Amino acid sequence: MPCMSTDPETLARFRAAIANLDPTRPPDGSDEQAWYVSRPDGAEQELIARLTLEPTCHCAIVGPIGSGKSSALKAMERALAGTPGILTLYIEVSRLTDLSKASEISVAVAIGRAAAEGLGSLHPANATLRRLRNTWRNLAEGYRVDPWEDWGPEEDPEPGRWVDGVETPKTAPYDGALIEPWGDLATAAATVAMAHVVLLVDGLDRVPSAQRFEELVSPLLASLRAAKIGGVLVSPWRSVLGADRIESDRRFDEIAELGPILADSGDVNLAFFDRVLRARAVRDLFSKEALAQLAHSSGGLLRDFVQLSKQALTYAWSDGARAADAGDARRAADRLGRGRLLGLTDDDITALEKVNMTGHFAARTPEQQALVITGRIIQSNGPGGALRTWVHPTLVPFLPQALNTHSTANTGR
Amino acid sequence: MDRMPGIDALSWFTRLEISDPLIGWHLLVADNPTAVAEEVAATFELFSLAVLTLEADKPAFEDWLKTLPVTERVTVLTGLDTLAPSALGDLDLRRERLQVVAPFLVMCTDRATADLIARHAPNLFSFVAETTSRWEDTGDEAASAERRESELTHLRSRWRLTDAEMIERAERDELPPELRAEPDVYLWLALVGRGDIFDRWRGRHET
Repeated sequence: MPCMSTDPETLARFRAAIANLDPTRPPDGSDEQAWYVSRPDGAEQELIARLTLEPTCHCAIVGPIGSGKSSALKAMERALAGTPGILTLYIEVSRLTDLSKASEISVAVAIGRAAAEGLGSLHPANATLRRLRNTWRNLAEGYRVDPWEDWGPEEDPEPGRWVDGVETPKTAPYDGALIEPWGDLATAAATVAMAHVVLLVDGLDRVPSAQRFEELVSPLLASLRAAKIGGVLVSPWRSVLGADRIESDRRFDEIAELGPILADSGDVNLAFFDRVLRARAVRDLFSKEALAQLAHSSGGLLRDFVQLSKQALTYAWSDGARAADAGDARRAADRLGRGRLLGLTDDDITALEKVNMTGHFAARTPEQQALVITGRIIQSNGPGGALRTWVHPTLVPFLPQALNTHSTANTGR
Repeated sequence: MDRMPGIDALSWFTRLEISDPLIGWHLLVADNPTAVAEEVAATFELFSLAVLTLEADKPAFEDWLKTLPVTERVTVLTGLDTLAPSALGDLDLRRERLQVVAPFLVMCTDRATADLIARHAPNLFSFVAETTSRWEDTGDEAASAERRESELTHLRSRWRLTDAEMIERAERDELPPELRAEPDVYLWLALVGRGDIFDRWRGRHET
């Protein structure tokens, strides 16, 4: 057949590129490790410097959905890997426990268990680390307290008392502050690896309210501080926004807010997006004009950039082209804008119109905060610290239409 | 197969970014999400892709998210329409678990539920904002005819064949093997009203 896109080699290249650009791909494979690109604004570099000098400090990463918080955490993991005296352990907490049902103790035990497993995997034969893993496993799954256990089964007069673990609490689970197990973990790391443990905890940014986040992490941070274990927590932006902001400055020694990476601000930022595509081995499938258009349309949000790139590539392949051009990028932006209209109320659209006209926005209510958190309204500190505010570029073309007809908007095909 | 995929499903499938490995999340918004889910499942099965259909409001879905079975199948999720906003919020908290069990996920909902997902599950929605498609039966015959012609123009241009040439080759079974598996062929034949050739093909190549 004469069609260009049926050429097996071309098709294979596009298919591999599409897979590498999928934003839902879990970040735990060896390929994915190489995908993380350091931000040009140096946000994670400041945290890396702080942790290098003070490995027991506690930091938070916050930012809008899709701003690259997990990517920043992974970049930190890679950067700190060679630092003497520091052992980082990356933990995706929402995979370990169901955050919709989790208690503060179950979250802490899930993190502790994962840390013990991670530490133990470095030296599988080490008896101290095996005991440590057993301790945390027992806290999770339950254990038996049997003062006669050393007597052997025939002489043992009683089976002992069963203590539920936090994963399956039928009775009262362990309710201690976990000071001792965390201390054991810190001591084991110091003894076996001669290093301070720094936990890189991902996934807590989905916790829907500042109060709930406070409930979940306060006991954990207190325990880690007592055990002299450092940590970086990807945290909900609501926790530092608005009137109900938590006492973050007390809980955290440093908070890194990830703003948008504005391609329009200069070559350095555009080079960042170029590196993102190169890291995923797909740069040659995009023209220079397509790259600039995609970076602009993303509003500086990493996830949007990746999604737009994937869609633009799909359009290019569908049209039989060998690479995506600016037209493909604009089509992808149109589609993303239509998708982003979903869920907007009349009040939201009025707010977007106002921002588009004035460039000002104060997020006071949860609904208004949601516009910022979901990246429909983007805010960034410009030179001199002045706050700049604007509507996500993919939404702007729809605003006049949306005011009149948004109930019938959104066609993805 | 109980149900043949229609033109909407085939058209969507041809534009689907079929990746290797199979990965990606999609949100399909339709007036009748259950019927659309059936049609989507039939389309994937037509191309020999195993499908797992789950209902978000049933205990089996909860068990599935709890046990995290590894699967390479396409997952089609319905029943989101009956979930309360708080349950959608809970699903948002379990996005990573959904990523583990459903690397390729198609969620079928009505418009009102899609709005609720965007509001109450913003993290999950951020992964499908670009891949949301609306399947709307407007009843507008002129628009349907225009769309049909647009699809055909695209196919003729892409494959550099006329409708008659495509039908002739398909009837004689003279399409190259790699083209037989192309969704474009199925869409093309459906658009020109020769879906009957599907069955003959399947009969020849499945036995």
